[in-house]
Amino acid sequence: MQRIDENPFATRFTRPGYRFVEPDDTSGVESLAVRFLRDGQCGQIVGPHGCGKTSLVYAMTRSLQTAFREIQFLVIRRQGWLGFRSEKIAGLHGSGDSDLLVVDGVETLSPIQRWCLVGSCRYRNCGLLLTSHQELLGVPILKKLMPSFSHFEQIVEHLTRSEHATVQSSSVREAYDRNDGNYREGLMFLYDEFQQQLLATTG
Amino acid sequence: MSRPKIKISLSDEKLAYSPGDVLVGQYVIDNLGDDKVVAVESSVIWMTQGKGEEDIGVQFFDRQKGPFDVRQLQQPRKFSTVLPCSPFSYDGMMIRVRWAVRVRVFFEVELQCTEELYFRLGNVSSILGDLSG
Repeated sequence: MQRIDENPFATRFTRPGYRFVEPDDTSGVESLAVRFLRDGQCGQIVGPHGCGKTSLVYAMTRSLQTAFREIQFLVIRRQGWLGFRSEKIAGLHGSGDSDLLVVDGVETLSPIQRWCLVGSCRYRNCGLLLTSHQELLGVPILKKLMPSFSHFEQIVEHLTRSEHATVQSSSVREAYDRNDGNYREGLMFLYDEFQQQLLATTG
Repeated sequence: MSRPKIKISLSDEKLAYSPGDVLVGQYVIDNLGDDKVVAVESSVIWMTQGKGEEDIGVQFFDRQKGPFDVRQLQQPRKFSTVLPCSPFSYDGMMIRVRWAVRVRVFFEVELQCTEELYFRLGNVSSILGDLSG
């Protein structure tokens, strides 16, 4: 029997960009990328905390790589007006024609900052792909993600299958329910549970 | 495309080392198929694994650029490095510190193949024992 030595819920396996498990109801990452290119290279992925917006965006950018000269990522953490400088709004210094700016967490910007961001990208003819908790007016919605237990189960199944690990279905249910459908927190809950087992078996 | 086989082995076949020990090993790449290998990297690294940000440190690194002959890659390639004083291998609840020999094979098309062989450096429990008592 193969000895389990890895926690399948560690950051290295769950971080955005490592792998995206498509929910059953999506029309596919590829077709979202095609729609994005067709609809003016501007769009947003909307959904609550930890439902896979960033993972989806990373998966999309893989499909968009050939369409753009350069793809720049901007992750926005909570910060005041002074902390968010105008050159960042302008999509960093290098952005321009044929570039794509991906902005993660745009809801933390003020309405004026959002307006500047969208306007600046349009002026520079730069593609703009956003993730947000709330819909941003004037930006086409590419996908609204809603957490579901079946999708969370799919993600867990995917992670444990590739690491040859098993996890009880009651733990998966508990991880989902306790965290109100926040996948990220749910996976961290499973990390703790799995790590306890791992330490117990490895001594 | 066939999945290449990378076999890493350590010459003394032990998987636990002390600071200052010389780690000597070799790797062999097999089952390459028709895909052209453009580079082969071998490294000795430590990495943190857990539920937060993960970190990595490189103790030894070697990159060999192609083109390679298939038979050339099937020959054992040796590496050696002196292991440092830290960080020690550690298995905790929030974080693990792991040491590994990593070999990566890069192909002309974007795919790459990675193999890791984990080993331990130092003994954290002996230090904790000294501190507590």
